[in-house]
Amino acid sequence: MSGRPAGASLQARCRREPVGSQTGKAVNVEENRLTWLKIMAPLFPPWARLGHPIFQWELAWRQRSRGRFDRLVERSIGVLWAAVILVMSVVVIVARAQGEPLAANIGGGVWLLLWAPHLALRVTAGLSTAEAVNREVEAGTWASLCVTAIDVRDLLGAKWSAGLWSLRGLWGGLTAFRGVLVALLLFDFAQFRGQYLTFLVDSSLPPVPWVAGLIAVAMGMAAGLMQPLVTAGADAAFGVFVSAHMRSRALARLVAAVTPLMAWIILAALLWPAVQNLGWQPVTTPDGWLLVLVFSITADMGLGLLSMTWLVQLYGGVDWGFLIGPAALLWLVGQALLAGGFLRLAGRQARRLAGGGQE
Amino acid sequence: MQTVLRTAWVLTMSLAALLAAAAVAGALQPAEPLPGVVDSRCPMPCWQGIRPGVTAADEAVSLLSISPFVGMHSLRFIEDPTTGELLYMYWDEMESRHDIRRYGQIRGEIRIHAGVVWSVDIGYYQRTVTLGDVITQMGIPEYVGAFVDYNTASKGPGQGAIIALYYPEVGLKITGQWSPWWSPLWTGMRVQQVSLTAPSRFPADPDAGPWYGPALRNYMQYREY
Repeated sequence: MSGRPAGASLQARCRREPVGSQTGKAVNVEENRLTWLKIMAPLFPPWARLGHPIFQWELAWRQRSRGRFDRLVERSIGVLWAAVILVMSVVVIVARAQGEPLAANIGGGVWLLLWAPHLALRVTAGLSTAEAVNREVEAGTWASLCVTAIDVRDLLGAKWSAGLWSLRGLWGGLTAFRGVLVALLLFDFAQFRGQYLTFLVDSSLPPVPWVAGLIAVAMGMAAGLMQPLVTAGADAAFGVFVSAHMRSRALARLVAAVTPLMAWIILAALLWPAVQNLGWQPVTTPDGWLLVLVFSITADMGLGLLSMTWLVQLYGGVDWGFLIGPAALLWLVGQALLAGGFLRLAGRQARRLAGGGQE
Repeated sequence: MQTVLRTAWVLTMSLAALLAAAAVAGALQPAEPLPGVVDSRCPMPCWQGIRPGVTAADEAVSLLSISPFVGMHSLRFIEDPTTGELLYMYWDEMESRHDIRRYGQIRGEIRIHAGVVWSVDIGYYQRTVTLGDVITQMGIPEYVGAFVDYNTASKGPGQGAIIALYYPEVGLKITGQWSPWWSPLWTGMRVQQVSLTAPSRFPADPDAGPWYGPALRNYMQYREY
């Protein structure tokens, strides 16, 4: 380090060395910055920006750790991924072109097709950060990182954001797909000479003013749009937490990948029967309302909030159903808090690990 | 956390503005005419100048004979065998002179009571009239009935439901069979039959419920058809 602060040295090194230069392939993230990212940068904390040295350090490790076969697999999955999103978009657009809402043309198999990529995102989000700390501990670099000027929380935050950034194709594609659903839903709301929102609000129990209904629907749609990234963020934070607490990288990857998958399977299995009768029997009790909310945002992963079929059942079949959308948005805020909690707990453990390393 | 809150706020406000814009854009669309249902020549209920409860049977026959929707040779009559009084007349789509591309093929029947038209039922063979047409023209129905045919109920959730929208003030009943039954009320749903009756004699349907939103499933009942 020759007398310079360790953090400055690391920053200088990260600035000098293009990402991926170790593999002979110059993939400089700085050069790849997009204008819109520059514009949006102030929205994010410093450690979540592309220029942060740990962010680049993490991306560089990802580049180094991937072999030719890994890249081939990733590209194949990317192509498959694009095809799935294209098929999903075509399914919903064709359904609308036939003059019917989404659910009129699809059965359970297509719902599974809609859910599968979201589940894949949750699994890969956990995997993307499951080696954030333990691999540094294993390599003996964690203690060095912790003595830099960068705070441990920022270190973990940068690793977490780099993990999410590496999955941008995945959650970006899913968000784009949900953008298609939002566009179709807006088109649907223009039907019946723009009265559909009035129909929806009028069917609400208890009655709500039109403007309140408008805001409630918009909040639900916002929740539906944000769900992939926020949930992936929570899963990635869980991955960081696991990586700080499990020395075995393989075990950490297994736990980070399987936990969200199992949680989804259990929730879907428990909640699906509860919402099957939605519409046949009105939901009038608070626990019924809660079940519908949890199903909407976890098992269904917010897709229903972007479907007119589900919305009319929520408004017409569930007492206080108009609050499901706003509650889903609050749920996502809660998930963001949970992600912060995981990162804080991981930070505590990571400090202990750094202390142990120094000893 | 703050990023999530900020994003949620920006998205909610933007989407609310877009929703309001969608509602306004929809409201600015011209009301679709109801081809072959609403007749500009006379107030509802009226079809081709025939008004249930008002038009005499002989006059109805004359009006049908000049209607482009009725083929001259397809019109059939059923009379009371004892009195010779006209009870019923019906026709199919054969030889009609109307614009098939616009109105589709139409079949119809008229019931007569005491020499006066009791009801007019028009069947849209190609279902050219949609629920969107009906509701944007007539407004929301006063009553809705939705029924799954009990005899076919075991066929699973994809089966069709028979749904009836009632406008008793204008003597109008709209019927269609829509599948699957969990779909909400939708503009693209095709109307199968339009029934016109004099408002004072509009048949009550004890199973129909008042309108309370587009979730047709909420109106659903099993009934043997």
